[in-house]
Order: sequence, then structure tokens, then C-alpha cells
Amino acid sequence: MANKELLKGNTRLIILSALARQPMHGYALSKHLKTELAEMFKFGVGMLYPALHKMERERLIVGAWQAVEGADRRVYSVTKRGKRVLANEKARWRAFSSLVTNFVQTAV
Amino acid sequence: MMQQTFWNVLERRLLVGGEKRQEILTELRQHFDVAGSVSTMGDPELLARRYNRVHTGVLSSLSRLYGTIIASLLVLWALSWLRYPVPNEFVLINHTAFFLSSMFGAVRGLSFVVLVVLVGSAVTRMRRMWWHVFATAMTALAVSVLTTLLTSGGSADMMFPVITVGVMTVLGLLASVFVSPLPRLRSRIQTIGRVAAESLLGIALGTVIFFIATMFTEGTLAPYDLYPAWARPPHGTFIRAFNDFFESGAGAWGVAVLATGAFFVFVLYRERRIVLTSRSGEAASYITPAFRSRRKKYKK
Repeated sequence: MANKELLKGNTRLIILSALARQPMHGYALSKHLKTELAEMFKFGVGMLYPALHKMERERLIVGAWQAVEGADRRVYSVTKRGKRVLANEKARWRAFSSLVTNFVQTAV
Repeated sequence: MMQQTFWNVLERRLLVGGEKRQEILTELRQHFDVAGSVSTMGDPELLARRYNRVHTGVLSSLSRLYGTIIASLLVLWALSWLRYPVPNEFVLINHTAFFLSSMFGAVRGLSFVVLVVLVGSAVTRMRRMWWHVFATAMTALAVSVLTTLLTSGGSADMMFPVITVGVMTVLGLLASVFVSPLPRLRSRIQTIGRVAAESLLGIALGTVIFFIATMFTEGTLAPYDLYPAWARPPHGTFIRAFNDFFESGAGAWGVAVLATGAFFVFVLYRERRIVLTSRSGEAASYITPAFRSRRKKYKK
């Protein structure tokens, strides 16, 4: 039941939430998202990496080459600014979801 | 899709150049090494286009580039109407209109400089950089000639906008060197060479910024400096006080000193980054924890 439209508007929220738990490299992040969100969102690699680069340019996350399991990997972590944005996005999401839930529940 | 075809298409379509290009390709190849297939990566053309959009801004596609140029020209055109809203003789009576027209004139000029610096900065991130520099300069020249032909009707001042656009393009490209990503410097000689070249360029640009800011202050913030006393706004009005503040003394040099000072602080900060990152033997982001620890070590 993957929903592309839902994903489009919430890419930042999802990536920031995942990286806020722990810094990850691209492959680990894609696996993590696949495990956690496969039912609802299909996160293609072709979408994930450019999104990471975009967020890095926006200084929401920062990438650094680190040795992980014997290989150099670009590990991403959330910046202070990213944490602020994540808090805002979370609040926006909560407000949106509760509003829609209430609205849908009142439907016949 | 065959793996080799995927990489060929991606490399051909990826416009991002320099170190960032290597970083993108390395990162994707590492993903491929673990995943074992390129099928999860989707269409290489679309992937390249997404990266281009992130890293090359208005140059990621021709429609974006020309869309930006056309939008900027429309804004400049609209502002030029505000620049000359009243005939000259009326200007002397309506001081507020003259003051506003000077301010809008400055906005028009500055918006163009900002556009050129943005394009220049995008150009330095591209593969085949010099080809794009040439194409951008030619486009700027063509646009300026076209604008001149449309607006001046072939008058004696025809060459002025062309020269202005040319100078601004060169300045923008030079300025863009300072916002381009830092390369991976391996040897001490490379570091010394780069720092020396950038310092010289920085001094030249700082001088130009100082003169432009001085001219900006004189032409826009003190528009009545060359007017006879009777044609100036009366004493006690805001416009007169504003004009007098920027006409002489600290006000006349303040903007130029601040702008040049800010630029030199940026240059020094950047040169420091070059020295630090090259000493560490690898190019790293200056806000990573690894870099912070190296910086502390270096300070000691």
C-alpha cells in the first residue's frame, strides 16, 4: 500500500526521524526505512541519496566519511538546525494527523 | 538494465563536477557493492537529474536557467520603471520620489550582481567547468545585447550595459571561487599555492568591493551630494538628514568599510579552512566531530 504522494511531503520528517535515533550511512538508512516503513512508503535509493544531499546542503544533516565495518562510508547525522526542524515538522505532523483523524471520524 | 549501462548513463548525465562528483559516485558504488544490484537505484537519468537539481541550482536544466534569466529580466524591467517614474525637472520638487527611485535603482543593480554570483557559484560545481563558464558568459552577453537593442533603440549609450554585464559576469565568476567547494589538497606546495592565489584574488576582489560600495553609498544613499543647495530637500526632513549622514564623514565610508571588512573576514576564515583541512590529510566538513578534534589539536 505504498503511497508516493504521502512520501513526497514527508521525506524530510522521515529521514530526520531516522537519523535522530542514530547516525547512519546511506545503505543502512535505506534498509532501516525498508524495515520500518515498507508497508506505507517505498523509499527508492534513487530518491534517498539526492534527498540526503539536499538536506545536507540545507544544513539539516551532515555527512562525514568514516570507517564502518572495514570500509569508508559516508555517515549522516542530524545537526542542531536539523533537530529544530525535526521538532517543528513533528508538531506539524501531529497537528495534521489529529485534525484529519477527527475529521474522518465524524464522516458517516 | 545492465550494470555498465547504468553507470555510463549516470556518469554522462551527472553535471556535478569536482570533488562532489567523486563523492556521489563513490557513495553510490559503495551502496551497489553491498546491495549487489543496480535495480533498486531506479532510472539513472532521473537519479542524475535529482543530483543536478540539488547541486547545480539554476544550471541543472536549460529551462531552469532560462526561466531564471527571463524572470530576472522581468523584475529588472519592472524595477526600471520605478527607477524613472518622473521627469527630471519634477525630481527636484518631489524629493521622496527621487529618493525612492535611487533606492530602487540600487536594488535593480544589486539583484543582478546576486544573480550573476549565484550562476557563477553553480558553474564552479559543474563538470567541464570552463565550457559552462564560456556558455554562461555568452548567454549573459547575448541577453545584454538583446536588452540594449530593445530598450535603447541603438543610441550612443548602447555599449554601456554590455560592458556592465561583462564586468559583472567576470566579478561573479571570481567571487564564485570563494563559494566553491574546497578541493582535496595533498601536498604542502599545493596548499601554499592555493592560499597564495586565493589571497591575491581576495585582495583584488576586496578592492573592487570597496570601490563599488563607495559608489553605492554616493549614488544611492547620498543622492543629493552633487546638487546645489537650493535643489536639496529642506533641513529637518528625514531625506535630508539621511543624505547628509552618508555624504561625508563616517557615513560616507561606513558601508564600504563594513562590506570590505566582512568580505576579508570570510576570506581569512576560508584560508584557515584550507590550511586545516590540508594538514589533516583529508578534506572533511568543518562541522564534523572529527574535524573539531583535529582543530583542537592544531590550536595546541
